[in-house]
Amino acid sequence: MDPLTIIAAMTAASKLIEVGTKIIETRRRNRELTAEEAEAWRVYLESKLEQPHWSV
Amino acid sequence: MRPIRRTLAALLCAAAMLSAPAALVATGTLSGCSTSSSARHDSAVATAEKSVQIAFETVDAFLAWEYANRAVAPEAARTVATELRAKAPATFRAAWAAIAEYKATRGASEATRMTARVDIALNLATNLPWTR
Repeated sequence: MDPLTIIAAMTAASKLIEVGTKIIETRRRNRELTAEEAEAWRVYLESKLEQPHWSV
Repeated sequence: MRPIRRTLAALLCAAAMLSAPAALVATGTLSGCSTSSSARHDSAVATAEKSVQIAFETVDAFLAWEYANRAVAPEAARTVATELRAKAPATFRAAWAAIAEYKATRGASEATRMTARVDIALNLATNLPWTR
C-alpha cells in the first residue's frame, strides 16, 4: 500500500477518535450552556475558523 | 473500498449521530419554548447548542483531514471542502447567534429562527456525501 495512503488513513483514524470523544461528551450534556460557556464556545469557533484548514 | 476511503467514511459517519438531535429540534421540542422561564433547563436550547457544536466538530474534522491529505483525497472531498469553506463559517455564526438571541428573549419568532438556522448548520454535516 502507498505510504501516503497509510499515513492519511492513520491521521483520519486518530481524528475520528478525537472527534468521537468530543461528540459523546457533548451529547451527554442535558442542560443549556451558561452565558460564559456560550461565549467561550463562540470564541473557540472564531479561533477554529482562523486556522489554515478553514481558509478558502 | 480503498482503506483511505473506508477511514474517511468512518470519520464522516460520526455525522450520522446528528440525525437524532436534528429530529428533536425539528419535531417539536420547541413547543414549550415560549413559556420556559428556566435559563438552564430549556431542552430546545440544550438540543440546539449540542447540534451546532456536533455539526461544527464534524465539519471541522473533515476540513482538517482534507487539508492534511489533499494529495491523496478524492476529488469529491476537495469539492465538498471548498464549498464548506465558503459557506460554513457564516452558517455556524448565524446559528450560534440565533441561539443567543432566543436565550435573550425566549420568544416564539426567535425560537422559529433558531430552529431554522440550526437545521441549516446541521445540514452542512449531514449532507456530506459519505454520510448519505
